[in-house]
Amino acid sequence: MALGLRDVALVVELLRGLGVTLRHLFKPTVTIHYPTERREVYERYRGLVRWDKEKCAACALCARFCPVKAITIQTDDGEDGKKTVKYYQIDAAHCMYCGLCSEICPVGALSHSPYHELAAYRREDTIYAQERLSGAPPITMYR
Amino acid sequence: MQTTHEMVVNLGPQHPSTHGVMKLEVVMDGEYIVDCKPVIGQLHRGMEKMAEGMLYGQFIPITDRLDYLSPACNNLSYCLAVEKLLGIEAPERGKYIRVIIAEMQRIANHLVALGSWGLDLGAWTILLYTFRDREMLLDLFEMFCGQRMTLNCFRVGGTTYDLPDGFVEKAREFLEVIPSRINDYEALLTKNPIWMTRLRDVGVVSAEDALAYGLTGPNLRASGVKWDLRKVYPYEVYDRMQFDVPVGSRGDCLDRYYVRIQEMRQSCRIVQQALDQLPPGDIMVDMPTIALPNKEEFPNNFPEVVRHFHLLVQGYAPPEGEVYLGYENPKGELGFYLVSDGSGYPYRLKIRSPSFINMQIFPKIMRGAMLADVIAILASFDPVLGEIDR
Repeated sequence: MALGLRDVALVVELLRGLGVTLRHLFKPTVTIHYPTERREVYERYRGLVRWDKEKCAACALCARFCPVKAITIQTDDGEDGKKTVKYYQIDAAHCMYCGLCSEICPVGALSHSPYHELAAYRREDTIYAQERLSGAPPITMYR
Repeated sequence: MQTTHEMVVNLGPQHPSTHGVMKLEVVMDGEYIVDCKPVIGQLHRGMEKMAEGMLYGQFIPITDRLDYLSPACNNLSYCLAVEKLLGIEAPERGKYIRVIIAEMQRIANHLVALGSWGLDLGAWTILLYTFRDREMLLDLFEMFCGQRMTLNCFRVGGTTYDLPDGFVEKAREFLEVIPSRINDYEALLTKNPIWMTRLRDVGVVSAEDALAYGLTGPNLRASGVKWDLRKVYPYEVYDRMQFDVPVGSRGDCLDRYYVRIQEMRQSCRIVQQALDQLPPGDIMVDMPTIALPNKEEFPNNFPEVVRHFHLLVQGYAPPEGEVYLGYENPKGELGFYLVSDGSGYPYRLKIRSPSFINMQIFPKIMRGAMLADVIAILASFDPVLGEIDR
C-alpha cells in the first residue's frame, strides 16, 4: 500500500501534536503532592466560619439572612437587660461558604478562616457550636 | 429470513460522559441510533420556588449552583435582572470589574468544555492542559472573592469586593500566557486526524433548525447565525469593547469546537481592554435604599444601623412589574424572568437556562448517528446538568 499525500499530511499533524506533549515533558511540574505539600490560600479565602463570642451582639441577623439556614442561634436576656447568646452553632455540612453572614454581621463577630479540610467520620462532627466556633478546628485524619 | 430488532440502551444517569446525572434512552438498530430521549430531573432542586421565599439578595449564592462551571456569569445575569427591575445601574468601576470577571469565567468554562470533551473522545492530554490553565483563573477568582468555584461575588448594584492588590498584574500575566496555550490546544486537536474524523460532519445542525429549536450561544453561532447578545443588546460596558463574534459554517461538532476556541481568544481581548480602561471610583451604587451602609460608621451612627437591619430583614422592594433579561452566558442565553408584587420577595422567578433549551435538539440530530457519535454530540453542546434541572 503506497502512502498518499493525505497520509503524510495526517502523520505530520499527529507529530505536531506529539511535539506539544514532548515540549511539556521538559517543563516544570505544576502539581503539588497534596498531603505533604499544601498551597497557601489567599487572604480573602472563605473557609470555615469562625465566631467571636465577645463581639457578638446577639442580633440573630446572620441566622435570619443565611440562605441555607445553616446558623442556629438562641438568645437570652442577660442580667443587665442586654441580650446575650445562649447557644450558637453553624452546621458546616449545610454551610455553602457564600460569605453573606460575615459580610452582613454589623459588629464583625463572624469571619472566615482558611480552614477547608473539614471531612469528618460522623455527621455530628460537622456541627460547630459554641467553643468549637473559635480558634482552629479539631484536626481530623485529613488535616 | 434474518431480522434485526431494536434495542434500548440506557446511557447514564451515571455514565461519565453525560456531564452530570443525565440519562439518554437510546433506541438502537445495530450500531445506529433510531431514537434518543433525554431523561432529566435527577438534579432538580426547585430553585425557582426557592427564590420565592428569599430576599432578592439572598438568592445570589443560589444562582452559583445553576451553571456551576460559570457561576460569575450567573451572578451577573441575576443581578442585572434585579437591577433592571429596580431601574438602577452599577457604577463604572463596578461594571468593568463585572465584565473582567465574567469574561474570565467564560474562558474557564470553555476550558472545561474543551477538556472534558477531549476526555470523552479519548484525548486525555488536552484535559490536563486545560485544567492546568483553568487553575490560573481559579486562583484569580480566589484572590478576588475568596472562593474558587461558587464565587457569589456580585451584588445588586455593584460588586462585593474591589479588585485586590496585585490582581491586575496577575491577570495580565495570565493574558500573556493563555494565547500560546490556546495555540497548543489547537496543535493538539484542530487538525488532528482522529479529532477531525470523530467530529467533522457529525451532529450537523442547520441554521434553520438551530433557530427553530431556540439554540443560543456557541451552539447557535456554530450553525452560522451571528447572534451574540453582547453585540445585539450590549449591556454593562460591552458596547465599548472591540471584539468579533466567531461563527461557523457547517454547524457540525467541529464548528462548535472551533467557535469555542475563537471565543476564548475574543474573551482574552475583552479582558485586556477592560483592564486597560479600568476606571477608579466606587464599586457599589450610591443609593441608601439598596447599598449596605459602611460598617465602620456603626458605633457613632445609629440610623445607619437601623438602615442596615431594614435592608437585610425586609430587603429592597422593587416596584410592581415584571422584567426579563437575557444575558450571554458561556453556554447560551441565560434569562431571568422576574415578577415583583412590590414586596421584598420575588413573586415569581423563571429561569431560561441555555443548556436545557440547547438539549431539545438532541433527538433530532442523534437520529442516524452511531453510538460513539452520541458522546461526541453530547459533549459538543457542553450541557451542565445543574442548569438543565435547576
